[in-house]
Amino acid sequence: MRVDLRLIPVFSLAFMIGYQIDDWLNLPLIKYYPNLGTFSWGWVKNPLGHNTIGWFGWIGWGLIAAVIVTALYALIPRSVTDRFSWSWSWIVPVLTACFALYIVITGWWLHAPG
Amino acid sequence: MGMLAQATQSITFVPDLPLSYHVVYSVLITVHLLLAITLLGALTHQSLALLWPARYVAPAAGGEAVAPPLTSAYRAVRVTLYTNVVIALYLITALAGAFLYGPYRLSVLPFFYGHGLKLFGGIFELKEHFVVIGLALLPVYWLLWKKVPLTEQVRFRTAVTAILAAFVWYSFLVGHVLNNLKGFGT
Repeated sequence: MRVDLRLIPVFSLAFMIGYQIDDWLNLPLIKYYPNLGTFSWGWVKNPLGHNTIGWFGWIGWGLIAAVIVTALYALIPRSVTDRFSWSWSWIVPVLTACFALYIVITGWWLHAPG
Repeated sequence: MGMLAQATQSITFVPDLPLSYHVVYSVLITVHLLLAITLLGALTHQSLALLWPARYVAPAAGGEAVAPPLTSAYRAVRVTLYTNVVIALYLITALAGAFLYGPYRLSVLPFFYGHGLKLFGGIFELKEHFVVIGLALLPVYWLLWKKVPLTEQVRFRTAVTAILAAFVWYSFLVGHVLNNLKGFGT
């Protein structure tokens, strides 16, 4: 099987954006409860639940988003996609990291309980 | 529902865990640390070689070859050989980190909350995000090092490698410092 190399950057960038948006929305695909050692599907209301981990679920949605976006991108003719710049390969990770910092500042340091 | 009720402990609650639990996770965190150090070394080599390329030191006419200074020698290694190793190390280190994340949330984060240090929770969460952004960046990193000729897209290869190195440095320092703050196996 031959992998179309032009799809690789799209998969990467869609994965990181999908992950970060899902983290922002706090809608993990699965949740992990470390003190129980068990998972649950989707978002389960847990009022005092600081001991729930959404990280694996955000990664899950990020991967699903990446697969969908990459599949759609594959439908675009090469004559169009070849014009896209490599600049996105560093601009998107930097912007995503800045967005992660924004989420942490607003979620953990400004509005967090405790 | 009963299970969820158990999960909803106070945010400062640190469960009383058996010694075997601490021993197992202390070993795993040491392995995680050693893998991270190796990854850090490889990525730092690559980044510096690209950001600050070593110049070839030609021998004087009729003279013997001059040994380059240490800083040049550090940057003059064949960093293209590191690419697959970096990817493998990144994946294994992240996997070890994923196994350690549960114990961190169980015993380290509540400890910080209990001591009014919620700042550290955010610092660690940023590490989680950087690790995933770096994970997502690995295919682009592989593409730039393995499929694009080394004389092309040099700026983008440099930027992607440096970003990956920055994420790994941040993750290493945060993980190391926070674990030390809590105390080894306590």
